[in-house]
Amino acid sequence: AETVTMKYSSWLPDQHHVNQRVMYPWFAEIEKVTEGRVKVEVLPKMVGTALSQFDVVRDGLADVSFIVAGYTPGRFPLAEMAELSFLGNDARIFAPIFNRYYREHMEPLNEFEGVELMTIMSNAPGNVLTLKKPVRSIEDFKGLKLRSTGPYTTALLNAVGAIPILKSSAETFEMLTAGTIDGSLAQRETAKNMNMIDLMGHATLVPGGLFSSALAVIVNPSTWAKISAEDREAINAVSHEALALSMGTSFYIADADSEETMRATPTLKVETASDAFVAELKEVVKPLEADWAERAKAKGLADPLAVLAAFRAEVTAAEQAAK
Amino acid sequence: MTVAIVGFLASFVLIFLRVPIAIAMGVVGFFGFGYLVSWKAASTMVALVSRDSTMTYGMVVIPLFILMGNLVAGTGVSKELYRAAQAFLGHRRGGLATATVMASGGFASICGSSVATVVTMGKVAMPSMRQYGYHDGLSTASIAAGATLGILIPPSVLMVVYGIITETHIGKLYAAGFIPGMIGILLYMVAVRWTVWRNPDAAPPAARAPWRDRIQALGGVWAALLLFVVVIGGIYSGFFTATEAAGFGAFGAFVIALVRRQLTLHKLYDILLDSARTSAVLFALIIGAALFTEFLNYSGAHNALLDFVTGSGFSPTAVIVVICIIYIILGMLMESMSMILLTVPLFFPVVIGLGFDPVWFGVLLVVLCELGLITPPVGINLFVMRSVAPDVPILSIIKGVIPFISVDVIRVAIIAAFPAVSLYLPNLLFG
Amino acid sequence: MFKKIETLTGIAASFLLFLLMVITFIDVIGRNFLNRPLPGGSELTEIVLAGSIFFLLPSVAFRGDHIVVDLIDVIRTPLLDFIRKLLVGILGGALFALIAWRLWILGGMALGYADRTPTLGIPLAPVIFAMSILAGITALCFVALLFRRDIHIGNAELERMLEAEGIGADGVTGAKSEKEH
Ligand code: NA
Ligand code: NA
Repeated sequence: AETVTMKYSSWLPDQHHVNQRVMYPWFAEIEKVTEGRVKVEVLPKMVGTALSQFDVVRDGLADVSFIVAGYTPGRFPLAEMAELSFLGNDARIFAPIFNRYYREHMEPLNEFEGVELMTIMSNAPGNVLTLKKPVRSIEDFKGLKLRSTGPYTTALLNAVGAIPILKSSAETFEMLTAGTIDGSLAQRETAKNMNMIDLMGHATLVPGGLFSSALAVIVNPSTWAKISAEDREAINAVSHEALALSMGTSFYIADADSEETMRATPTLKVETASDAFVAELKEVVKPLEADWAERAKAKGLADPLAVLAAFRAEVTAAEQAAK
Repeated sequence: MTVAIVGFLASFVLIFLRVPIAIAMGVVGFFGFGYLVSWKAASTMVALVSRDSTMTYGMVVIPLFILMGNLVAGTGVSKELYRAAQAFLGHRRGGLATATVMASGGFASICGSSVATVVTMGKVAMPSMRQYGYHDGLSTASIAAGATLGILIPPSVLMVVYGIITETHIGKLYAAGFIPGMIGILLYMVAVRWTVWRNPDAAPPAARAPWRDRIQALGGVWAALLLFVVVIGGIYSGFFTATEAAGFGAFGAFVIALVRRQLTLHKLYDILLDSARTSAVLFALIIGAALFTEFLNYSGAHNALLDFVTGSGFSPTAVIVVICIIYIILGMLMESMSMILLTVPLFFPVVIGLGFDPVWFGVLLVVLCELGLITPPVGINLFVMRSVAPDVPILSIIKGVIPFISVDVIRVAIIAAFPAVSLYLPNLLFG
Repeated sequence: MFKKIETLTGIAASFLLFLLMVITFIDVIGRNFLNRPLPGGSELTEIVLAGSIFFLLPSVAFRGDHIVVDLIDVIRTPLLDFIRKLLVGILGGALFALIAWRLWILGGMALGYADRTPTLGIPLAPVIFAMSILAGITALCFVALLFRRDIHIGNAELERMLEAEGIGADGVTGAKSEKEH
């Protein structure tokens, strides 16, 4: 049969763990399970910009890419569930479960029309890092200038009385170095990637995560159609939940590695949010979740909050069982 | 790889037929991409690139630094810088030419473009040197060469563009340009001394300014100094980011112009329109170059070039030497921004792949571009001097600029051989 | 007619550039002194920037202001000039027509996806449609070059700058007038 060579456009550096531990091994696996009939080639640089990767794959400028749903606000309201608070602690567990929930409840509503969805997941629990003042309660948030990562965290910061700063990671680093902002919302992995650990004085780790990101891997549909039905099935078997697990594991490792560095850094005090603080936060996010549910309903999901609750329950149970 | 070669050839043919560079690169990029990928993908790419090259936050530095430069040029700051330099240096041998270089360096520290620097300084320095009987060759050459510092001493529009297309930290690039800029000033002074030593008639002595005049003249440079301190100090204190510095600097220049009552509504409109027009020209170029880059990405040129370089047994040093020579030749023929946009997407990955520092390479490129501004036959600064002083034969200008070209080659060698010259400051400031 | 459009787009672009400067200033001052950065400053900047550029593209095309390499003055012949004029009109017109067409499609998609800016929720579709229309006008301006006799060749950018500085054909040295005396 005809060999199909897919071109991969990556906006992450070649050495990034998502490429090294997830995407490249996945490409090798695709080649293996299709006995070489499908290959993926990495382009020297990304096609287009990080923000336009969905358009790039949809119209065939590249065949495979890795996208962050939050980069195109409002386009994927259902996938936004993966950005909410208190989704889970262990990405190895909640990432594949998210893929399953999405496929079951949301995929039929065709949010990703125009591309083939290889996997979708929530990636890592988010926390609060500050330069000087530790954040131990909602009260502590008041007046702090904190970097926000997207519309959900912006709303969250506004809700707790903090001042959201929306700047690129490079600019955030500059402002943190100079101390002109007070801190940043960040996943553990991002804290290390952005070299924030040496700058920061306090980290409040939030059990279950204060926020997360929705990541997806997509393939161009006409290229996908060129692949034989058996090979597509073989590829799907190593994608979907398997790819979400691989991605979740990679983020889990990166998070754990970063947390180790954080705890080993004497200038950074790492603490875990108290039960009282978490309870406070859970109240704060309720209206934000209701907002999300409105948007998800408009997209056709019958009972978004029920899906969210079921998802959280399953993740909690699975994390308990794993202990 | 063959496709890439055909693409480069086609662009060069179109460019040398005087098709606008933006159109030439855009059209070749579209056809190349369409041929290699698909026509549908190529047509979507054209729209995505035009949208994403303009609707991107980081790009805002370009029009704002251009605006800042044009506002500053309209405030008479250049005259004061020159008067101060003249008061201290004018009486020495070749002192007015040295003063021109110093004042150009000062002006460069608040203006991001070399063309704006040469136009502004030319208007101020040329009549003065004429008055004291300086040879036209020395006068025009010192202005043309001194003004090249505009793109090396921060702020610099060219560095911003390099930073954006290669994702290199702009604050680090700025810091890295500072010491090479100072070396540039020193070497240009050497070039002036050399010219005067060869031909003492080229620079008759001028009057010595009394200390009272010197102090007074020094008081005139406050505006330039203030703006420089605000922009650079603002970046390194974190008051604003390197991106925001452009807007803040433009606002500062606007306030200075207002305070000095140099700004009528009509003049402000002219400056705004002119800056917006220059930016539109530049963005068209950036869009064209981005289309060409997307085509190169699929052409296999990067890997082929890297394989060739690693397979040829060239040492990394030899590769840098070859790249420098290519840029010196291109610099004779092309405008600097177009040169950067056309070639960096091809060379950058190779140079970085060989383990070189992106900040250092950026500074090296900017210095090579400076050289290109004063090398004939296509040297924008020489053209400007020709317009500023049309009665000076172009041959005199070229003869006059040869010592400056020579010291520029030495500077390229210094910067290439000793990365620390560029990297010391950024490492100090950004760790 | 064209003159009027050009004046209007020029005013629009100048205003937007001024706005760009003011937005950055307010954002920085707000963040540092008032503990209140301009909400949605970055996204406003992006839209205003695109507007400021696209409003001027037609005029830049029509005036032949795009950067060209002025190398071969020696081999300038009427034939080469004619070929150049043809190439610029056709290639420039075609490229911008393509940009206009595909931006229109992109705008339609943004409408379908209900794409909005993250903080202020400004819909993106109208912005992209406007860019498409301006790119279309730019394409027409390139085509119009084919029918112009007085097509400009040279470094227009530089000439404007010199003019703005009051440096005329006789430079700052008054070369011409000296000869006349
Ligand atoms: Na400068
Ligand atoms: Na040159």
